[in-house]
Amino acid sequence: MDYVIETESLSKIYISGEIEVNALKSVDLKIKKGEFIAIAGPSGSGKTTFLNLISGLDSINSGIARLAGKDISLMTKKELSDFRRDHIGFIFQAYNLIPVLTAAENIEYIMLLQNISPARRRERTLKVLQDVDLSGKENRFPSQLSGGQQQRVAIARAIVSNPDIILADEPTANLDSETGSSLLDLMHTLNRKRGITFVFATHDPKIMDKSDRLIIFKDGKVDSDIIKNDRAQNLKNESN
Amino acid sequence: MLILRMARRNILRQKRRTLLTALMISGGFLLFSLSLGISEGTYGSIIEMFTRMHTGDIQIHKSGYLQRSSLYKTINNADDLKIALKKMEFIKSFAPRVYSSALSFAGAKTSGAIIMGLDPDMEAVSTSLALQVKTGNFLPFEPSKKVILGKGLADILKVKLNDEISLIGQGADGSIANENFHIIGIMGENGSSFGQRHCFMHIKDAQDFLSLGPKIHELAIVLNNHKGARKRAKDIKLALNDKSIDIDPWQVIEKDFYNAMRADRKGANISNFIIMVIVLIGVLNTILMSILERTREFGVMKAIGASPSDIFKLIMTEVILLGLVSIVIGIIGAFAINYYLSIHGIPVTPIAYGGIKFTQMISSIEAKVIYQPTYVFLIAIVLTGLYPALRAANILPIKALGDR
Repeated sequence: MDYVIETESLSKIYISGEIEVNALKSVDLKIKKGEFIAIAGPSGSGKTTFLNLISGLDSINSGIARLAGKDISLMTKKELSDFRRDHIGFIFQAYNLIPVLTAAENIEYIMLLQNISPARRRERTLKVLQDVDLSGKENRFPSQLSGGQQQRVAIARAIVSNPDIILADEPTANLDSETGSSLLDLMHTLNRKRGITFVFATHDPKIMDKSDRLIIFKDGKVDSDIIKNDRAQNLKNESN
Repeated sequence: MLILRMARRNILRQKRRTLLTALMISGGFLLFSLSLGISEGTYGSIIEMFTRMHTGDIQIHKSGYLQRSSLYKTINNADDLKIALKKMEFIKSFAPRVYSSALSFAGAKTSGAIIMGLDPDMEAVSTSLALQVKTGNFLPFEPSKKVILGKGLADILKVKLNDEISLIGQGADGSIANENFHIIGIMGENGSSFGQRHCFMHIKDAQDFLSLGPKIHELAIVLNNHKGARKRAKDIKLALNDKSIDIDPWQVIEKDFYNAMRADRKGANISNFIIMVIVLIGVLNTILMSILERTREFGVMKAIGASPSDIFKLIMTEVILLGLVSIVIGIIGAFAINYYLSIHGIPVTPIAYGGIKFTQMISSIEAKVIYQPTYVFLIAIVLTGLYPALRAANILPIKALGDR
C-alpha cells in the first residue's frame, strides 16, 4: 500500500545569528490516503515546520520526505510548484484568499494554473461552492465575506483540484467556536465522502477529538502517535 | 482573462498611487512627444526654407568647388547632366547657376559683390528666390542686362530701383569683365535674409559677363521628397558616374546649420532621457511598493502552485497594462498639443540663422512624434518592470507567508 506521505529521519535546523534551532529532529511518519490526522503539540514543537517540509514550502536539511511516492528534496523549484498545484491543498489560519479575486475566481485560479479550460473551471467552481455551502456567493470578494465564509472558500480552493492531501495549519484558530465546528464538520464530511486526506496542525481540541489519528509533537520529535478509532486502525492494517 | 482581470484590479487597488504613476508616465510621454514634435517641426520648416529658398536638396559642383570655390571650377557638360537628371523620377526640378565676385560701382560708391547668375525659368519651379524680392520685380526670363541687388549691397551703393550700377570683374578667358546693369529689384530685408551682398542676374548675362560660355558652377536639385536627400545624392552619383563632379546633399552644403541642428537634437535627446529616467524611477518605486505590500499574497500564490513564471507574468501584465493606458492618455494629449502647435506655433524672439529669419517654433504631427515615444516608453517601462517582477517571482513562499 502506498503512503501519501512518508518521512524518514526528517530534520530541520534554523540558524538565527549564531544560534541553531533544531525545529524538527529525525521524524519518521507514514500517512495513508484517506486519513484524518491532527498533529498537536505546544508552540515551537515542530508542527508547522513538519507541514512546511512535507509540502516543499521549506527546504529539508536532512532525511527524506516522500509525497505521493516522490522525494520532494530532489525536485526543482518549478517541479515543486507544479507538485503543490496538482497534489496538495492548503488551508491557512488567516484564510489567505487573493483579495482582488471573487470567491469563484479564487477557486478558479488554481485550475487556471493547471491549464483547465474556462468552461470546465466554471463548472467545477460552482460544484465545489455548492459542496462548501456557498452557492450564490461566488461573485463576492473576500472583504465581503465573513471569516467563516472565507475559510469555506479556502477549503473549496484546496479541494477543487482533487489533491492527494490537504494540509491545514490552524484552520479554525481565527474563527468563533460555532463556525469552527461547522467547518470541521465540513472537512470531516469531505474526508469521509470523498476520501480526501487531511492533516491538521492544530491546538484546537475539537479537531483532535474528531481526528482518526492524533500525532503529538514535542521538541521537534514525534512524542506519541495515537490511532483513535477502528477506521484509522483499519487503514493502518491495510498498509502493513 | 482571469490574469488580465487580476492585473486590472491590482492596478486599481491603490487608485491614488496608480493615478499619480499614470500621470507621470503620460506627462513624460507628452514632454517627449512635444520635444520631438517641436524639434521635427521647427527644423523641418527651417530645412524646407533653406532648401526651397535657394539651396535645393542636392547640389552638383565641379569636384572640390565647395571646399575652395573658383571661377574656373566649372561644370563643362551641364547640358548632358540636365538630360540625365530629367530622367530621374525622384527629381522635381533643378536650376543651373554661376557665381563670381566683382567690384560694383554706383556714382562715387563702390563695394564688393557676389555675382549669382540664375535661370529665372528654372528657379521659378525650383526655389522661392523670386519671393524674396521685396522691392521691384524678379529677373525677366530673357537676358536683358538687368539685376537684382541684395538689400545690403543696395544700401552701401545707395541705389534704388531703375538706377544703374557698373560691375568690374575677372573673365574666365583672362579678360577684364566690365558692364553696366539696370536695377529692377531689391532682395530681402536688413539683416534677415539670404543674399545681402549678392547681385543676381540672368544666367546668360552672367555667362557673357564672365566669358564662361555655356559653363556653369552649380546645379541645385529639388527632390519630390526632401527627406531622402542623402540617399538620393548617392543614387544620382551612382547613375551619373562622373568623377569630375561632386554631388552633395543639403546636409553637406549647409554643414554648419546641419551640425548645429544635430547638436541641438542631441541636447533634446539628453533632456528626454532625463525625463524618462525620472518617470521610470517613479514607476519602479510604484511597482516595488506594490510588490512589497503583496509579499504575503505572492507567498500564498506560490504555496498553492503558482510557478515563478506565473507570478512574473502577472506583474508584467500589470506593468504593461498601466504603461499602455498611460501611453494612450499621453498619445491623446500629445496629438492634441502637437496639432495645436503645428498650426499656431510658439512665438519666439526673431532669430536669423544662415540668412533665414524664423519667428516661431512650430510642431509636427508626423507619425514619428507618436510612435517613437510610444515604443521608447513601452520598452523602458517593460525593462523597468523586469526587476520587480523577477523579485516577486523569486519570493520564497515560506518567508512570504511569514510576512504580515
